[in-house]
Amino acid sequence: MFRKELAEVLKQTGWFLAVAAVLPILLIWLKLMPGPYRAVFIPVLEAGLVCWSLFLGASLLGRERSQKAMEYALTLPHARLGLLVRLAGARFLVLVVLWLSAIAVIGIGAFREPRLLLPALAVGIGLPLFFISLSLSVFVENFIVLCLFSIAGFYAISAAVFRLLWGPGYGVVDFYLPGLFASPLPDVGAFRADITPPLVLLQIILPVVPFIAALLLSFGQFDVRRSRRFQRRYGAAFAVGLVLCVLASFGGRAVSSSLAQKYFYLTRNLKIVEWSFMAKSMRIRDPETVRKIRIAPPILPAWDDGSFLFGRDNNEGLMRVDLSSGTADLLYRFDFRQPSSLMQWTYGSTVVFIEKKAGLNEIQLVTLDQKTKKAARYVFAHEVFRAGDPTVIGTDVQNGKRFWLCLIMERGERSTLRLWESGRVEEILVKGRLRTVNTPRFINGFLFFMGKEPIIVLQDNGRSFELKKEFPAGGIFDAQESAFVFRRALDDPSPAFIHSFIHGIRGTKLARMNLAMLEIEEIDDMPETTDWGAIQRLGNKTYFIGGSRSRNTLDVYDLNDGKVRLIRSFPDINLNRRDTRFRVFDSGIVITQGKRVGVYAFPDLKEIHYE
Amino acid sequence: MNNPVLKAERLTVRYGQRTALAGISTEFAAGEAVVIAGANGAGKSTFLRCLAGAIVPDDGRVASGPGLDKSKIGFVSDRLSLYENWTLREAWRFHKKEFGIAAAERPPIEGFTLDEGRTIRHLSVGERTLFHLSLILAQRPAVLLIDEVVHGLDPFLREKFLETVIGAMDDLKTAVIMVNHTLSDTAEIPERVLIMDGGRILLDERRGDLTAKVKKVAGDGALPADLPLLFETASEYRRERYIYPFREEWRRCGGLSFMDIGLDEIVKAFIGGAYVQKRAR
Repeated sequence: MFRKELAEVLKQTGWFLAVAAVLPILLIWLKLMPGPYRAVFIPVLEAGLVCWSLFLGASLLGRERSQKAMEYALTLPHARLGLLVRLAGARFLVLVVLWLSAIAVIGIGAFREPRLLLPALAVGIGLPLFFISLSLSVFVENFIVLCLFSIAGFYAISAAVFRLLWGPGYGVVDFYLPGLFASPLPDVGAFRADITPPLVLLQIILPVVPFIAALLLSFGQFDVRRSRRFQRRYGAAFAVGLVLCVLASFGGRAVSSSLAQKYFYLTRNLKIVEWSFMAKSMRIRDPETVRKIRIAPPILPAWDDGSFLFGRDNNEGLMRVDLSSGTADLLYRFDFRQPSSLMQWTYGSTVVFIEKKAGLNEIQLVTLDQKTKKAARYVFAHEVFRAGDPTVIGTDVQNGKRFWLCLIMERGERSTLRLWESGRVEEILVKGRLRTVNTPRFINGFLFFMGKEPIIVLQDNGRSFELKKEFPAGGIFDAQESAFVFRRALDDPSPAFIHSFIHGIRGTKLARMNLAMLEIEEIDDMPETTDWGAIQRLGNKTYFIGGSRSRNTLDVYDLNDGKVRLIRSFPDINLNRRDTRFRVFDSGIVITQGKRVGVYAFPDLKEIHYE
Repeated sequence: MNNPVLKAERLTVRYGQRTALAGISTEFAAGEAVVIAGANGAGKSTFLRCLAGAIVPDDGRVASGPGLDKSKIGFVSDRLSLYENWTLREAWRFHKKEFGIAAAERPPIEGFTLDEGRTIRHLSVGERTLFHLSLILAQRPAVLLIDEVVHGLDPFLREKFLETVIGAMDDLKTAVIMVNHTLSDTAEIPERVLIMDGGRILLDERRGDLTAKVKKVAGDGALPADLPLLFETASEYRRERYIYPFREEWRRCGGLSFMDIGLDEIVKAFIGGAYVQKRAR
C-alpha cells in the first residue's frame, strides 16, 4: 500500500513540478509577471509548494473515493491505523523530500536566492496545512470545501495560539536592535536565540495538535459511512486536542515569560531600559530610581533622544515613550500591506523611513515630524526598487531643497540614488556605473564608496556628485561597515561638527582617513590581544572594541588624537559563554552575562550602578 | 457451534437515525455455506460489510476464529470495489502483495480470460465480478463474503461463478456467506439460510429444516384458524398461502393439500410476510 501510494504521489508530484517549471514561462509570455525566469520561478515554486502541501493532505482518500475503491482499501489486511500510516506516510515522505529538494535548489543550487523563504514556508505553513487537510479529509469529500476548511482551520487556530502564546509580545525577530554588536565575534549578540525556538516550535506544532489527535484517535472507527461513533470520537479527540493546545499555549507562555531573556537599552542620558519580548511592562532605571511602566503590546526600543524612547510595537505602530512619565503614544501606524523598512532614521525632529509601494518599481519615503506627528509622503520610481532593499543613508538641503540619499542593496551590489523632495530621482554614478561593489557613506558632503574595492570619493557640487578622488588599488580601507549599522541620526554629529577622520582597519593596522586631505594614515598596529574588533564612531569620538575568544579578552580603546589608548578591559567577562551579550550604545556599553548586567558609560567606561 | 470461524456479537449499525443492524448475533462454521436473504433495506449488505471489516459496528463486534486473520477473509461487494483506473495486471500485482499471495498467477476461472492490459473501469459488470472473484480466491480465503453479484452475470458466467465458488468450498473448506435475492440458481449451495428484516435475523435455519417447515397450501379452501399462515397473496389469477412452521400431521387432516416448495419461494414467502407485517404495523 505504501509503495502504491508513493508511486501515485510521485507521479502526481512530477506533474506538479512540470507545471511549476512551465508556468513562469507562461506568466512571462503573457506579461503577467516580469522576467527573468528565475525571478518568476521562485515565487511560483514557493506558492506552488504551499498549495501542493494542502493538496497532498486533502487527497488522502481522494483516490479511494474517486475510483470507488474505499471498500476494497478498508478490507485490505491492515488495521485502520496501519492503513492511515501507509497512505499518509507516503505523502509525508514525498512532501518532505520535495521541500528539502526545493530548499537545496534555491538555497544552494543554480537558483540561489539570498532571501530564502522556503524553510519558513515549509515549516510554518506547508506542513501544518498538510496535516490539517489530511485530518479533515476523512470528513469532507468535496475538495474545494476541504481546502477552504483547512485554510480557515489553520488560520483560526494559529491566530488563537499566537494570541495565547505570544500575548502582546512580538512574533517577529528584529535584527536591527540598536546597539546590537554586529562584529565578527560569534555568538555575542545571538539575539533571542535562547528564547524563541521553543515558542516558535509551539506556534508551529500546537495548531496541528487537535487535528492530528482527532485523526489518530478516531481513524480506528473510520468506515465507508463515517458513523456517528466515528464523528463523536473525532469531535471528542479534537476537543481534547484543542484544550491541550490552549493549556500548552498558556503553559508555554508562562514558562517563556519566566525564562525570557531580558534586554537592555541604554539611553543617551544613561537611563537603562529593561524589557523582554514576553513582558507587558518595561523598567526604566537611573542610578537612583526605578520606574515600571506598563506597555501592551511592548515596544522594541529603536532610538531615543534622552527625553523620549522610540520603537515599534508588534501592531505596526511606531511608538514614543516619555522616559520621565512613562506614558506611551503612537507616532505613526505603518500600512501592514506595504512591507515597510524596519529601519527608521532621524534628522532634527524628523523621522524618515521607506515604505514599499504597490508598484513594483516604486517606493514611498515617509517623513514624520515627531512633535506634530504629521507625515509627508514622497513617491519615487526607479528600476532598482523592483528587487533591492532600499535604505536612507543621508540627507541634506541644497538650494533650499531637501534630498535623501538612498542605498539599494541587491545580491551584493549597491546602487545609490539621490531622491529630491520634488520627486526627482538622480542616479549617482561611480565611474559611469550605477551599481557598485563598495558601500557609500555620506559624510561632510562627500560620498565615500568603501569596501572590497579601492575607495572612491564623490563630492556634491549642488547639482550632481562628481569624482573627487580615486584611491590607488592598495588603498583599500575597511571602514567597518558594521559600525554604521548602529542607529544614529542622519545629521549626527550635529551639522556644526565637521568630521576630521574616518577610522578603519587596513590589514593588521588601525588607520584613519584625514577628511580634509583625503589621505589615509596608519595609527598603530591592532592590539596584540585582539583577534577581532570593530570601530565604533560615537558622536565625535571613535573607539576600537576588540577581543579574543581564545585569550578571553575584551578591551575598549580610544582612537582619538591619532593614538590607540586602552580605556578599559573586561577581564571578568567570559566570552566563551553563550549568554554573553555586548551592546554598544551612544552613551555607553551594556554587557550581560547570565543575570549579571554591567553598564559602562563613555568616555572612560566607568561602571554605573543602578537601583 | 464449536470453533466458529467468524462470530458476530450484538452487531448494531446505524445510518444517521435509521438502524440498519439491531444487535445481530450469529456464528459461521468453517466450510459452511450460508445464504442471507431478506427484503431491500433489511441490513444484509451492511451485515456482510461488518463481517468484511468495511464497516465498524456502532456496537458489538466481529470476532474471528483461531488462526483467521483479515487476509483470509475475501469480500466481493456488490459495488465491486477496486481501484478502477488500474489495469488488471496492476490490480493483481497489488492484491498479491497486500495479501501475501505466493502464487505467481491468479487462479483461472475456466472459460474466462481477460486481457491483463485492460483497465478495470472498462470491464463489464460480469467481467469485473469474475475478475474480483479470481483475486479473492487467490487469497485462499477461509471465509468468502459475496454480496449480491450473481444477478449481474449472464447465465454462462453465472454458472462459472457458482462452479468456482463451489470448487473453493470443496478445495479450501471455505465458508461462503452469500447475500442473494434470487435463489433459483444458487438453491443447491446453501446449507443454512438466514433471513433478515429490519436489521434483525428473522430466521436462521438449516436448509433441510427450512424446506420441511415451509409449505404452500394447494387450492382455495378455507384454512383452519390454528394453522400458522406465514404469507398469503391473492390476485385475479392465483392465490398463494404459505404455512410456517408446518407439521406433518396436518397432511392427514382432510380437505387441504400441502406442497413442498423451493428455497426461492420460501424466501419470497418470508419477505412477503415481513412486508405484510410492516403494513399492518
